[in-house]
Amino acid sequence: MAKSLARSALFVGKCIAHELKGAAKVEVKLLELDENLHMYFPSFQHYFADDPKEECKTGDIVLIRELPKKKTVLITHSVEKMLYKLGDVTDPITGKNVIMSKYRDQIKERNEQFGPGEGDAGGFNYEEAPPRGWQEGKKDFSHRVGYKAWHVFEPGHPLHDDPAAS
Amino acid sequence: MGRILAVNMRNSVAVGSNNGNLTRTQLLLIADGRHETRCGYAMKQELTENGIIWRRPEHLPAWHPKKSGELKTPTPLDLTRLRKDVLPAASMMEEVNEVTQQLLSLKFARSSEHSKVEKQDVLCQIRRHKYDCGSIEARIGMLTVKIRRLQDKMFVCKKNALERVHLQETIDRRNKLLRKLRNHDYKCFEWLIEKLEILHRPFPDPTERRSRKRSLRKLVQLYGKDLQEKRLAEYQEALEKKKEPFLKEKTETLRWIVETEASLGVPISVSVPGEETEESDTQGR
Repeated sequence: MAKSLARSALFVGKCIAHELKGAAKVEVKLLELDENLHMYFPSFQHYFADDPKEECKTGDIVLIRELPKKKTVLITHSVEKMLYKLGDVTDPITGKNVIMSKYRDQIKERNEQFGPGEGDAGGFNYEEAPPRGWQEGKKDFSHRVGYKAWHVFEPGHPLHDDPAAS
Repeated sequence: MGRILAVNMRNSVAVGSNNGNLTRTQLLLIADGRHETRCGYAMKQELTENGIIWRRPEHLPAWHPKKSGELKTPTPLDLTRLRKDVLPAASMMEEVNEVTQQLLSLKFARSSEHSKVEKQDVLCQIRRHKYDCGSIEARIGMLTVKIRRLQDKMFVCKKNALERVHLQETIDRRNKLLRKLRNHDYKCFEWLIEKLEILHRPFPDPTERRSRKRSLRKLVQLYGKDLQEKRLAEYQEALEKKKEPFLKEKTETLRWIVETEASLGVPISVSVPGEETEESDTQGR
C-alpha cells in the first residue's frame, strides 16, 4: 500500500548540478517532525529523474514521479512537468516579468527618466537578449560539479585545465 | 651547494636563465636525470612502469586570479587622460599650460585616482542609467575592478596580510552577488560575465582532500577505462576484417548446397543471399 502510494506521489524539487547524462538530479525538500520538540525540520532527498533531452538546468523547479520500473540503477524517477524555468521570473497575478522586487517595466521607465550617460552602452537589453544558457560551458560552469584539481593532466586530455576544477 | 653548481654546468640549457625559479629539490632531480619521471612522491613500481605517474597540481592561493575566475588581465591606463574630478572642466584644458595639464592628468595622480577612472570605464559599459552605481550589475563591475587592482598589488607584496584578507572578502562578496544575480536574472547574469570576462564555477566540496593515494586510485581507474576501450576497439576492428571472408565463404557454401540439392532432385531448402533477390525480381516481373 505504502509502495503504491509512493509511486503515485508527485514531488516538487529543484534541479542541482550533476555529471550524469540524460538525467536531472532533483533535490526535494521534506519536512520531518521532531517528536521531542514538536517541530518540523527540513530534510533533503536527492533523486535522479529521466530527462533524455536534458532540458532541466541547474535551479529549475520541476515535478517528478517515480517510474514503475527503474530505468537504470540511479534513474528512478521521471520529470512530469517543468514548473518554473530559472531566468525570466513572471508574476502569476499580472503576468509581467519581474526582477527581484520590481517589474521590468518600472525599471525601464526609471532608466528612461534618468537617461544614459555620455558614451554609455545603455545596460542590458532584455528584448535583444539571446535565449538562456548561451554561456554554459564557456564562462558559466554552474551546471558542473566543482572539485579540487587533483592531477596535472597533459595537454590534449579531456581533463586538462578543466574549468570545474579549482 | 657544490652539487647544485655542478648541475648548472651540466644542464646549462635545461636550467638556463630560470635558475632562480627552481627549488633545490628540482635542481637535484635534474642532476640525477629523474626530473621527468619522478616528482618526489613514493609510488609503486607497477604503476610507474605503466606510465601512471601522479603530478601534484601547483598550490595556488585563494586570491589568485586563476582561482577567482579572472579571464582578463587589467590593461595599463593611458597616463595622458584626465583625472575623474577634472572631467567636468575638460573643455577648458586647452587654455592652460602643459605643466598644469600634466598635474591634472593621471601621470602624477594617486593610485586611487587610477582606480576611479577604471571604475568609470567599466560602469559606462554596464550601468542602467547615468547615475546608476547601486544596481547589482554595477556593484559587481566595481568589485571586479577592485579585485583586479588588489590582485596586482598582491603579486608585488605577498606578505601584506591585511590586503590579502580584504581581497578575499571582496572576492567572496562578488561571488555571492553573482549567485544572487544568476538566481533572479539568469539572462543578465550571462551578459554580465561575458562583458566583465569572469569565469563562474561552482565551489568545490570543502571536505574533499587532495591526496596521493586517492589521486593514484583515480588515475588507475582512468587507465583501466582507457585500456578497456582500446582493447574493445581493437577486437571490433579484428572482427570487421573477418566479416568479408566469412560472408564470401558462406555464399559459396550455400551455393554448393543449392547446386547439390538441385542435382539430387530434392526441394531446395536454402537460398543464396545475393541470388535470391534477383530471382524474386524476375518472378515479380
